[in-house]
Amino acid sequence: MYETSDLKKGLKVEIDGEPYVITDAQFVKPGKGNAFTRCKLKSLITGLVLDRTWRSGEKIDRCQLEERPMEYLYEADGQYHFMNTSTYEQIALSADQVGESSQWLIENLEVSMLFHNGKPISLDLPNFVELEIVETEPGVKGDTKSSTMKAARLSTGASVQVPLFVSQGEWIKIDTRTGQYVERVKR
Amino acid sequence: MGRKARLSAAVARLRAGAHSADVVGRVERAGDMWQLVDLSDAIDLDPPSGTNEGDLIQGRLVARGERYGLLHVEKLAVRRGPPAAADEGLRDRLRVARERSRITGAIREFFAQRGFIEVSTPRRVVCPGLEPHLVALPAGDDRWLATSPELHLKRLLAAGACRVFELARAFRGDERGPWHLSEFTLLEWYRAHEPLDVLVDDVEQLLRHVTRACGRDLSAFAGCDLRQPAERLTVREAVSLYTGIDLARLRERDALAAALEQLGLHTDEKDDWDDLFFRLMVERVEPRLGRGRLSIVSDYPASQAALARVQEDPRWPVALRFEVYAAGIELANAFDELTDPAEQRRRHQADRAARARAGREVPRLDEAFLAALESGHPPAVGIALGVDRLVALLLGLPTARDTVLFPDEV
Repeated sequence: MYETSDLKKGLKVEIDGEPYVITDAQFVKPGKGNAFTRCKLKSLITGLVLDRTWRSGEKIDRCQLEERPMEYLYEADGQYHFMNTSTYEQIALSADQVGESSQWLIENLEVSMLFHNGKPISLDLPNFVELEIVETEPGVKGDTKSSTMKAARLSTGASVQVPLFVSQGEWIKIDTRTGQYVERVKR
Repeated sequence: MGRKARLSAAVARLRAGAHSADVVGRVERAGDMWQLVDLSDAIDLDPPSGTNEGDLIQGRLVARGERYGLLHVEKLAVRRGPPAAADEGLRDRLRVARERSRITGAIREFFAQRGFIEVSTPRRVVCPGLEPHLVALPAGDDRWLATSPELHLKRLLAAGACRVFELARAFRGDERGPWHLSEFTLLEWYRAHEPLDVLVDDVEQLLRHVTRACGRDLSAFAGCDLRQPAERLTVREAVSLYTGIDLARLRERDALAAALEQLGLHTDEKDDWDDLFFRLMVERVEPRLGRGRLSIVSDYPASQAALARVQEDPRWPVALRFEVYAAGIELANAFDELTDPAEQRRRHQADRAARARAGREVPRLDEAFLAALESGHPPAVGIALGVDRLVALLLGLPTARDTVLFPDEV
């Protein structure tokens, strides 16, 4: 159990059996009363936002979260299949659960999956992934100075902006946190 | 003009005709003129290279709102190279400190104009205040750091003072947050033989006075227009207005808890009536107060009287108190002072028992204070105003923590 003094932005807690992350915590103290901590929380399952105020002295449930290393296998009928790399157990997530991460999922990508009470709730991608360009305008060779960008489609279906000098068939590194091009890579 | 040398100086005394000014600040070139643009203790003085004491430089001094012509450099203490940058944030906070010092200067001026005397009471005390929810910090020799100067200030009233004020440091353990510092500055002032409403006028006039003294816009004090009279409402009215709950009808703990749950508010089985009341205030009422103009909220539940008189009423007894809100922040708290020594002793004993039950430290009774009440305390009103909060609201800083020089240490 947590005390109210433990409540900080980023802490994960459990309310009525559901995992939440604190997005804002503020100490408030009426002149003639107990102290309170006003929190804004976000459900780790639904993403919905909740306001909750705890009185100093209240106990707050810890959130039992477990991270497991997984490898992405394939997508079929809107289900994304992963394999636990230590137990070889397979698990499928829906497109909703995978969310925007789906645009960076390439076969054999190692990801980390967050479980709450045995149920998968979110996917953590590596910060950088390497993907192949399957479609873009012809490259302007040697133009490494110009800051102009052009659109490119990747093997996963994602669209990104890339510099003029990269061509179809080349591999590039993407920052999954921003969705931006980082550099060209040799494969 | 020569090359532009980057100099930082401690102090320069500039003279223009009969006017002189100690320049503590940044001088900026504007064409072939020099302009003092930033009065601050964080100094970057950038005079023409080769300037020496006794030189005349062509310039325009804009200081304290006045413009002067030719500048005569009388003294120039120069530190070459960038200023010590051990703590960049501290340089910024020094700028705030300059504004803050203007505010405290204006506060002193305000009270001097009204015949108040400024006093200074002890910080290490036998009794730091007994309110059950305040955590006192030990100060050695069976003494505590004062959580407020109120007990000593009331002793002064009993001794014959009529108008006193103090800018006091106050210390409260376990209170740290954006609007709470464990060591903070309280402005308390008291008037003997005057009614509580006089303090409402005082607050309104004081805020106007300091806002003007800082050259700020009266219509934009933390989103409040100080030219408008403050909004006046009782606690019961405020709660009813923003939650639809009539507190006087829900004086049983369980009835109030049920009403909160209907509003979708979280409650805890160990909450007492006051805890539930504060949940309503903190979540639904306070954020709506002090929007557009100041709010004065009066007549608190009698259980939260502290050192205020209680107006007995079998349906809804209230403490004769008011709080001042601006931008949802409680800025001040005023009492129609309790002067009945027997009632005061009874409340202090009850507070000590409540502290013991809560496992808090239980300081001794302040017998000198009680003796002062017994000797005959005049009817009086008093108010405490959080100076750090005032500075933050007036200067538009995000929190009270941004108004002090060493925020990480308090």
